[in-house]
Amino acid sequence: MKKIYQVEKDNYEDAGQVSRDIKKTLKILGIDPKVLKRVSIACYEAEINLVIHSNGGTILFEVTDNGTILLSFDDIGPGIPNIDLALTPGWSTASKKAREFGFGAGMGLDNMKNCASTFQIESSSEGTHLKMSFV
Amino acid sequence: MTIEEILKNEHIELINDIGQDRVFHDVYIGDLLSCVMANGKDESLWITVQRHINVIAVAELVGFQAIVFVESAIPDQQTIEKANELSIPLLKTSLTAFELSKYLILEGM
Repeated sequence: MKKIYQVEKDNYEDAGQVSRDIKKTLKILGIDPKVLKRVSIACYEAEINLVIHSNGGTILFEVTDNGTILLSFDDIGPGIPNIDLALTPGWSTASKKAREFGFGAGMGLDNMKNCASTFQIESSSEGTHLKMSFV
Repeated sequence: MTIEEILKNEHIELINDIGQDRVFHDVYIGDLLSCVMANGKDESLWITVQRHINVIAVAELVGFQAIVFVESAIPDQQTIEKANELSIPLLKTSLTAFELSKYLILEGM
């Protein structure tokens, strides 16, 4: 099963809709509640990052035949200048607006890494590509 | 402890009429949403000053029983409507997070 979603830059009002839809789908599929929570949190963090930091992008959600859950986040830039710094807990480049909404703690990527079974990220000025799997 | 029980405090009011019989087993205080998601436990009461619509999504993802907005923070209509849609009780108080926590502990939390 595969689903693709579009996420718009700076659309704080709808932020979280994709994560909710994925959570709903996984609940219907009867996924273990602990896995469901890990997927939901990681997905929400990555979705919020697309809203806050990217120029917009897509989320690909897939459940493989053996039950592995895959999430891919692909945006169209502007990219992360220093991934090592971005992965450091507490490091954030979030705007004042994002911080006012409670985002920008600098914990997002770390949260995702802790929730996912595998975590891969690459970035250039043309875009950031993040893949996570959950078993 | 139930939502109904904490409403006995005259400084705490219900914003939407949902789930007064809900039981919470723990309390989490926090405003940074990533920390809330990483450390909040389901079936807890969440105390925060954040009132943007995204708190509802976070509360649902974590599985909080209710949200209490402290220091007179009041969510807008859009946030209340989203909470109603997802059946999340919202409360408000003029108390600070510390004052509310003190009250909850004295009441047996």
